[in-house]
Amino acid sequence: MLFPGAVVLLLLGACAGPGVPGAPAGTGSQQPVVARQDEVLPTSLRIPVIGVEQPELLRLGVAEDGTAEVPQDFARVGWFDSGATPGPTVLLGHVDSRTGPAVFVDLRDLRPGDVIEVGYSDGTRQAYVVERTRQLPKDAFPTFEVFGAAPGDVLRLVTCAGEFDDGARSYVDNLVVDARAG
Amino acid sequence: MPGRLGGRDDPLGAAALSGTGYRHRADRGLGLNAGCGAFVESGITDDRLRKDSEMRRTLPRLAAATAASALTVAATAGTAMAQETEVPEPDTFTSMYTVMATPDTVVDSDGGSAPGEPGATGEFHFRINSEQEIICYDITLRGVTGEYQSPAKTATHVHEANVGEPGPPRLAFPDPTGDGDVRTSSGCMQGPFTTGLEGDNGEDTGTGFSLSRIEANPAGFTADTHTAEYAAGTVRGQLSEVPMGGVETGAGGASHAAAGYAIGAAGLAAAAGAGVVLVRRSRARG
Repeated sequence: MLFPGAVVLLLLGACAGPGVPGAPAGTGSQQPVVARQDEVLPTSLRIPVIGVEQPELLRLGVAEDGTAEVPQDFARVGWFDSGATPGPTVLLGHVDSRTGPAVFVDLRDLRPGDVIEVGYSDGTRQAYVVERTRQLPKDAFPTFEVFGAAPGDVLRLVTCAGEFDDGARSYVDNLVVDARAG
Repeated sequence: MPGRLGGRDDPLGAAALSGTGYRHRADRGLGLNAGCGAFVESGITDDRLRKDSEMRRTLPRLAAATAASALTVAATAGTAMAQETEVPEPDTFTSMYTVMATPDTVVDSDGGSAPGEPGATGEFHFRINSEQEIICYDITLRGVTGEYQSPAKTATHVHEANVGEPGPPRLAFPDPTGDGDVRTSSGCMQGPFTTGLEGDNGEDTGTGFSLSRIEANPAGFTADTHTAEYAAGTVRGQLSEVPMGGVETGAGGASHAAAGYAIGAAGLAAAAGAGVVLVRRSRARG
């Protein structure tokens, strides 16, 4: 008989895929973003057109193996904390869990012109307008196009896409939505 | 939704630059899922990496010449020296960093605020293989005008310096070039590194520098570029680590029912020409 906790651990391991061992000791906290007095950080996400409503974002970083940390909770969206300002806002969420759709399952339905709202720790909200959606192969991932610095106030949403490699337990592609403050 | 301002916002009003678009050269074929620590011998020979240490002291002396001629010679010498250290891109990297460089973060040699060129920005993307002491750089400057100027062998650097503090240059990159508003510089170079600038100990400030020091504390390093008009720096920003490889945001639980998650065919048709870009798998290297 498994304890409930053991079941959770199994699911997390599956979530992580081969590149990110379960419960990685990365630079992120996996805890809700809490800003200091002297900084303004993204804390919530709304995408009305696909029904995403996330009152709290999780803080993510770089995992020990150099890959991006991903939310351990399939129902949550995480913010990649680069530790630097200014910079792009990059939000990560799962397309599915082992058992069904997850928080960013409908991200592929976003179209240029759709509006994404990000709430910040100072109580303000910023609307971003989708510019394009790209499907990018993980084995030739353009790191700096997703996580790199860029002029202006840009938002990038990332999830998985493409075929699922059963052997590697990983999708072969990422889906990246580029949006700009509108 | 205008009006949101704060630490994460663009302090430069760079929205004005948004019409320029941006281009980054994609890093290629990282294969991170196969293990980013993997190390593949690239066949680089020592001869290829030999550097002309004799040249490194010449630039400070040239500073005594007229400003115009010194700049011309400095630019030429800097480029030539940088080319000597150029190496092919390694097959793997151990870490990657990005920098959003802005004028407001520039400080002088005493640590006092010395704002750089108004409206200018810089993106510095670095890929490091610390085992081979190779750093690949993709630098894009926007709105930087005028001639470069620095007592070092080039005017585009990584300094060992915390935010708001001065510090010695450890790496000198070929200065970005280009017509108009955008200047770029890309390549890979391998240590041992020199900057052409003599430190307090009488040695080149790049002597003994290892890229592993960046990996140990990226926030303790800053990238910048210097011009005659903005000698302390036109733009500057701290290094921040970026993850390598694809993002593992799926566990496959719904993949078979939906035949894989992709941009739907209907969506593609509707959005064709409206910004959807499918990157073909054939782009993958190897």
